[in-house]
Amino acid sequence: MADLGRFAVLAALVLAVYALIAAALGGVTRRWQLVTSGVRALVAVAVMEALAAGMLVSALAGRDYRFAYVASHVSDSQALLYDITSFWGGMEGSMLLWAMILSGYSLLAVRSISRQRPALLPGVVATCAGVAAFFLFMLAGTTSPFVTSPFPPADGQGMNPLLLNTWMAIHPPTLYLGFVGLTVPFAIVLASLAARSVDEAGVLLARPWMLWAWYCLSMGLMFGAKWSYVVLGWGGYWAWDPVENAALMPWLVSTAFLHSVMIQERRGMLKQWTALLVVLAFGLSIFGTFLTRSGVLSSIHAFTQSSLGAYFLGFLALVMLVGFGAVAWRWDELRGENTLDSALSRESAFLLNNAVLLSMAFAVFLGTIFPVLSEVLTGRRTNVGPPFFDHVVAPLALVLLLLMGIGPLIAWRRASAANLRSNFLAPGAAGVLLGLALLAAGVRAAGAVLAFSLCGFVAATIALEFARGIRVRLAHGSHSAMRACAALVMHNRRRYGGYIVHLGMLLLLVGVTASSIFSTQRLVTLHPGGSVRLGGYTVRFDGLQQSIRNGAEGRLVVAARLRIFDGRRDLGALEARRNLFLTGQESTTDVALRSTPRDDLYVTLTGWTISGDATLRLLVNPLVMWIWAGGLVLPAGAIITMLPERRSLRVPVPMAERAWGAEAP
Amino acid sequence: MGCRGPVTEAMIIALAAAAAAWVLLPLLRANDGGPPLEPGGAPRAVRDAAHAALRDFELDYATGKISLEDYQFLRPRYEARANGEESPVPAIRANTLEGPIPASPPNSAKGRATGGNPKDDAGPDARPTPGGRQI
Repeated sequence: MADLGRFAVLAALVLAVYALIAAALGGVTRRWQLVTSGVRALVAVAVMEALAAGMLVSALAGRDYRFAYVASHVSDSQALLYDITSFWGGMEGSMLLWAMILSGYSLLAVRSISRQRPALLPGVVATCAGVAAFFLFMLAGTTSPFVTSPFPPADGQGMNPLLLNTWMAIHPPTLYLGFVGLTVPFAIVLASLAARSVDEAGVLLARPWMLWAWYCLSMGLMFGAKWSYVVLGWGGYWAWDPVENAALMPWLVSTAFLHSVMIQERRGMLKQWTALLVVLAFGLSIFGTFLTRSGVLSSIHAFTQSSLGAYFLGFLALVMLVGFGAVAWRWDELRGENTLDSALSRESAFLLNNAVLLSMAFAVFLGTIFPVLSEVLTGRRTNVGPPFFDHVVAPLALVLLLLMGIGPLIAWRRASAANLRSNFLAPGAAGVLLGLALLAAGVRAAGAVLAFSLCGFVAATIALEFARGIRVRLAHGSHSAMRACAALVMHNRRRYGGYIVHLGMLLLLVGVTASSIFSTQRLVTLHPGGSVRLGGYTVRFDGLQQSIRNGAEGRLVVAARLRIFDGRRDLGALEARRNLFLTGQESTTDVALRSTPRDDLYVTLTGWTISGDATLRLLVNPLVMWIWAGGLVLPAGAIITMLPERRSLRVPVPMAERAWGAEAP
Repeated sequence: MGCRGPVTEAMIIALAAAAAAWVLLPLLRANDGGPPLEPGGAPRAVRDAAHAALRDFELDYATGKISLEDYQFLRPRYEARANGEESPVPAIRANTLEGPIPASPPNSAKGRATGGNPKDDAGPDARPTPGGRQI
């Protein structure tokens, strides 16, 4: 089985290299048989990778400890689900998953491009095959999951207990779907530049792929945040960890792309800029992979130290050189059709939005690589830590929030004073009133007042947009506001899906602001029967309980039994647990969590004594549920945006013509 | 690799042969030119984007976010793109804000539709929408 797996990976590598050469040669010499042969090679790559994956899954599910990978990630006491998810729990398996996802995407891209713009096919096939060849080279050469041991152990080590969680089971593949998804827009743009097909088609064909990648990255980031919150037991959901940042950077750049591409669609501007963003987003996805796999920066999410770093760095340099070089090569041909007419226009708002998003990405990049940079420059490794990111990113996020409100309402091309007055008076007043109400209610944290006021302003702009759209539809025959609203969204999916995404972001930002600024915590040691008050809650400690789970191979569970009260009202029982794994040194935390829309009571058991006392860490985190709600609303909006638009059978009759013509009302 | 069984070896040989045949077969065919390698008409993604942009543009106008002047200035471009025609770029370039703005028709849309001042582009909700339900 291992031989077959090794063969499949090697064959896939040979086929990917062949696909790259055949497609590139076919494109240059205009010999379509070569391109077809290259496409077929890509299909064969996918088949070989599926075969290799099948071998690995079979070995994992069958607990075949002859495979070193299986022995490292599976154990007899581990649930079958986690045996399967350990496919992407380790470096080698995750690389294979990466290559498989890329093959799937490549075939879908080939199908779509060959129908829409065959001229781009050689470039798309060659680029996808080139990226696949790199990953397959790593799989065949340095990170093979099919290494076998002549003396297999009787039992495996199993996965890191922190990874044995549903959120962690789905977090990596979702992120990979996003990271790898950025390859296709890169391939399309590169192919457009290579084929001198530099009209808007290249970037517009890349847009749905970018949107999908953005959606997957968003979901992956949310799943990771949820895992961090419920599993790690530190009370937060985002720690500015290098690997978290690695996913955030391409997310920020792809968000910038999704906004700037609108200007390209509407005004034929920013072609150069959007092409650069596509290259940058892909480069950052490779950079993220480098961070996770090189061991250059320590992170709870990262794989162990390895020799892969140099390869990834070399590949990243090549990608950047080819990508930016191609854009520079066609720079003049990518010039826009129009120029900015006024600083007070939607184009300007979107440009500023792009500048802020890129500034955030750069700040995150700088903070992430600062330890390496400082080591190179001074010989001493210095971490900047969360305060740096908070101080730099938070003000930029506030500017972004403001632009989130301005962008949808301001006129294209130029805004008149009347336009500004009619569109911004009510939302602006809503924001100011909310700020005053918060001040009157005793909120003194300036950052929070400003953030909530801006959230109020943005929420009002979204509400105004829906109200106006519904009114227009009602005026044109919709029978009820609900129907009008549904029709409005379904007929303008990209716009109103985008507003729903903004709404999700608002919920998320409200939750992040409140939980960052108003979180309270206490560390207490209690005797059984003792109680502690925090944030309106009273927590009574009713004693410790000890048990062994999963037999002798399992874990010792120590649980602190807690009773929660809100004043005199009994809110029920909770348990804060520590799991001590008998086979290793690891321990995990089961958080006692009471989650409501108002706040989360978050209790962890940090220590205990033989006499039965427990040391508890208690936090009250306001509005955390809003973050998860935002995490539901945001993808819902993204899905609406991704649904194909229903094309009008005819181009609408011009407004002015109808108005002044004989049939005008 | 040396101790693999005959079944595995046979499978590897069969897979390699099948892959080679599958990949190399197109090379035996005569070059029929295939689909045109030069960019042809606008791909569906472009036409879809153009239709969406036109619909969005109409909604922007109907909700008062575009002035009548800009509406008249920009609409032909959106319409041309949505119809799959070449964008009238030269015409638009000639009509930048610094250049001459096309004269409004005698009875402007706003004037007829709302009875208001045609220069006032602030009224958001009263504008009739074109094409009825296509917004």
